[in-house]
Formats: sequence, structure tokens, C-alpha cells
Amino acid sequence: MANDLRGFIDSLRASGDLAEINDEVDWNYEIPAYEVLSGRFGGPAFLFNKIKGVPKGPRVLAAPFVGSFYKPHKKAAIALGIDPNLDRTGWNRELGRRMATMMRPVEVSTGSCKEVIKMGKDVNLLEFPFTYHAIGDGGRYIFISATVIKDPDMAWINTGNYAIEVFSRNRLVITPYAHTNFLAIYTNKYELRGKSMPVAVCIGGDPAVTMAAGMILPPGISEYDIAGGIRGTPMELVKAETSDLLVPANAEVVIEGEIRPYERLPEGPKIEVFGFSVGPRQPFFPIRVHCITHRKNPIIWDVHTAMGASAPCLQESLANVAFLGQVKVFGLPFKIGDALAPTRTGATSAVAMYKKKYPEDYPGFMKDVFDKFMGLPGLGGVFAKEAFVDDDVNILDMADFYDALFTQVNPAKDIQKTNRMTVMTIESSWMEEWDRDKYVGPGGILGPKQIYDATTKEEPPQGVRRLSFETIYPEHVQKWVVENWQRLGFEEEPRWNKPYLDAKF
Amino acid sequence: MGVNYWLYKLDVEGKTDAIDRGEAVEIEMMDQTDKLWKRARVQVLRQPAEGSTPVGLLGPFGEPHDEGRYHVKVVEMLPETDDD
Repeated sequence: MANDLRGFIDSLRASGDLAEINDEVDWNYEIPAYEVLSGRFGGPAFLFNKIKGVPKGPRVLAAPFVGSFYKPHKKAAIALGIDPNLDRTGWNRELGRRMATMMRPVEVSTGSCKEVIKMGKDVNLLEFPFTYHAIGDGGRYIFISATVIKDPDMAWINTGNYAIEVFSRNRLVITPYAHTNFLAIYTNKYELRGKSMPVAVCIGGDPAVTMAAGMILPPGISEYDIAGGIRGTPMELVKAETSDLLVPANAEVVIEGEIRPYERLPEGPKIEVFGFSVGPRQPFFPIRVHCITHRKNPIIWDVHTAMGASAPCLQESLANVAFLGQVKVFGLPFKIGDALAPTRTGATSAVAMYKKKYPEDYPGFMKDVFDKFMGLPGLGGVFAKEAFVDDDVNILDMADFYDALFTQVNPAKDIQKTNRMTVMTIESSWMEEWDRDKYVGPGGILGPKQIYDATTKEEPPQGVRRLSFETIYPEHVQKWVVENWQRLGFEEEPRWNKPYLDAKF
Repeated sequence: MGVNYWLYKLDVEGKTDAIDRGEAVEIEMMDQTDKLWKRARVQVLRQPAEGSTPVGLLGPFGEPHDEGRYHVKVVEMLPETDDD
């Protein structure tokens, strides 16, 4: 099957994970509502073939990455041709292995994204069924794309996935968060130099590109290279019509435009991947759209941010693996790569798995670890709450994590509150209205963080043994129980943490 | 009740004095049909009047409320910021 959105749809159909809907549906609430319900049970993706008020042509793929609590990566695995039955440990290991084998993209002369080209006055974003996701949203949003920009001083092409409001027929408003490479490139290398920045918002194409775009990566690494790695073949790129940007040749839609220095338009409020609405309506970066190219009868894919829907499932499937690179590059003393796991509905929380030593390397070592963690824009800069747990906790299983949090944290000593640091805009929801103007800026705010030390401590009770299946039974007994589990008639898959605890990522 | 437009609550609060004096104000209104914001010069009224339409308020974190508390009478729809 083709490595593009249509190939992905074929794969979903073949695996029984697609519902094709020929009844007319509305972009206003109805399409996203299907995704939210599907997210409650790890249900299907939907291909909507007839959209109310939209001339025949564009279709919508909704819920493309809806997954289950223990397998949020299922459809992402289908998209990449990876076994969707892998558990989270297996998925993380396989994705991490593929990410490590980056492949540079190749430039081709043309591609299916150029089947229709509209320039200037012919541009009309409202011809596409971008959806309205929830009561109270400040507009229609594109929540899944690969937005391409370029560092003007080097060959680094940056690709990211941001919430983008459809502002008018030829304006988008894009909302990169404070930790993003997008913001660093734009503000430092375009806006401060008084230059416009070319932008291409790419919808569809190889899901690998969009998945890579959703990862937080260190500066200088191109998501196109990561996409080639996780797909196992180089991405094919084609030059945009109005700039030198390279875009996926098989994208469904490419929206080309520019961001002009110091130009702002109001954006928001909107639903977010953290599981609730964020605001306020505030100035963000408008994209002046000059050109739209697309395939014939393009398919727009659409994701929702509610619990269990595509956006949080993608976050959980990709983020912790992507953090592996930073953990390794910066030499953090974490046991293994998937040391961070956003909780189900909160990318504002992170868990670092830390192999505690007794005694610590030196007094204050743990605090130094915190500080280093906080100093990394791609790690500490993102999260509002961070927790450190011992390495016998399976942080991919929130039950394990909460057990550590509730049994190992002394509220009097083990919760730290930092001074104000740059964090995501999300925190503005928790900020008093009268303080908002003082601390909120495009892409982030200054706010305090909370850090929970949920590792076992040196003081009594030292080394409390966790009452988990893996720690209170000999290994041969664990193995015997697991191997006989299904033979004894239990249908549910036994969640044995040993493969996770043994894994070397 | 259904309304055709939402006004952004903080925008309205910032113009309370002018609204209380009965002056026309420039404001953003979110059209509930196409979900786009339109700029207009309007009179914001606390009671319905001839030619006015009821509106709702949109709070800063996505909470629509107080539908029908205000009514607007459009004086002039302002051009979009679309043209270069």
C-alpha cells in the first residue's frame, strides 16, 4: 500500500479499524463528536464521504489515531506497518530503533500534491471542511498538520504540528508553544531581523511526516529525517510554489504563506490536548496564505484533543520515545529512554524514571538532577508538573505510577515549587485574570512548576518494597502464572511488567 | 435560545464605558454560521431594539454564556483584513 494518507486509510480498512460513512455530516460539531465517542472505547477511524455545505470533493478522515488506554499507539503502528498488537514497551522499543536510523529526504520534480494549484485571489480556505470541534471554541481549527519552515542560516528544515485557527478565507493563525523550535527560529532569525518567514502547512501525505512533526526534538534535527527513519524509506519532497520550502510530494493539501514580522491576530480559546479548553483569546502569528495546492478530491484528516481521542493517543505514542534523544544527548541519569510519559490527558505532566542510589552521589544530587531537567527547553520547558519515580515503576502503566506517587511522596518534604519559569500557554487557565497580561505571551507564560520526588528515600522506611507482582514473587513464579493465565481461561491479556523493566531502549 | 453572534467577553468589558454611553463601538463578533470572527461597528444594547439581534458572550477559556443579555445593532460591517 502507498505510504500516504490514502494508503493509511486502506490499511485501516484492511484491519477492520475504519468505518466509512456515506450519510451527509456537518463539519460543525458532528464530525468531531464521532471521534470523541470513538475515543472512549478505542474505536474506529471514520471516513466521511459527504460533508454538508461543501461542494463535492473534499472528504474527512476523523479519529485516525484513536487508541485504547494500554495501546494508544495501535493506529500509529498500522500507519507505519508495525505490528499493532505490540504492547507499549514493544512499541517504544521499535519506534526508538527506527528513529535512531534517520534518513535524509529526497527531492523530486513534482508530486500528487500539485494536482490542483490555486494562487492569490483564488485561494479560499473555506472550501475545505475544516471542523469546529467543541462548544466554546473560538473558531475552526486544524489540529493535525506538518507545518514546514526553514532556518535561514543553515540547511535545517523544521516541521511541527501546531493548533491552527482558520481565521478567514486566506488567513490562518498558528500557535507554536514556548518550547518549540518554530518559535526560536521565527523570533530570532526572522522577526528580529525584520524578515517575513515562508510557511507551508501540509495536510496528509505520509503519516510518518506528521508523526515526526509531533515530536519534540533538539534544535538542528529535521523531522523529515526522523520520518524517513520511522518509515524505513526516505521521504519524497517537492518544492513549494511560492518559496524554497520542501513539502511532502504526496500531501493531500499544502497551504503556502508567510508570517510577517510583528504582525498578530487574535486566536482562541480552543480545546487542547491537555483535556480541557485553553485561552484566553490572545495575539498569535497570522499566516497570510498566498497559494493552496492539493490532490484532486483531497482528504482532510482531523483529530480531537479529548481523552482517548487521536491527539492524546499520538502524544502518548510519540512523545516519550522522542524524549529519549534528549535524555541521551544531555546525559541525564535516567535508566532508559522512555523515561518520560505524558499522562493520559496531560502533556503538562511528566514522569522521569530515575534509578535512585543509596546514599545519593552527593548531598543535593537529586536537586541537581531536577535543575538540569528544568534547564532543557524540550523537557523542563514543556511541563508544569514533573514526578520522579524509582526504576522499578512501570511509568507506561499509570496505576504503577500513581502507586508510587501516593506511597512515596511526603507532602512536607517531597514536593517542590519552583520560581516562575517558561511553561506552556496552558497554564494561563490556572492564572488569575488580573495577572494574565503580566505573564502571558505568545507561546508561553511564566509560571511555577511542581516537582514530586516519588522515589524511595534514605530515611526510614528505607527501601520499602513495592507490593507489585514483579517484586514480591520469584521470577519463575511470575513466569508460571503468566504462561498459564490464558490456559486457565482468562481472556484479558496479563500485564506483566518484566519485559518493560528488562528492556534496554 | 440560539444566537447568531458571540462577542468576546473581555472585549465587551473593555468597552463598557462607551457601551453605557450608547456609543457605537468597534468589536469582533463570532458568526455562528461559519464560525469566523467579523469586525463591525455596533451599538451594544442591554435591551432589544428595532433592528437589533441578541448575542451571547464567549469567556476567555471557551465558556459561552449569557445568551440574550446583550443585543447588537450593526452600524457598519468592517472590511476583512484579507487584502494585502
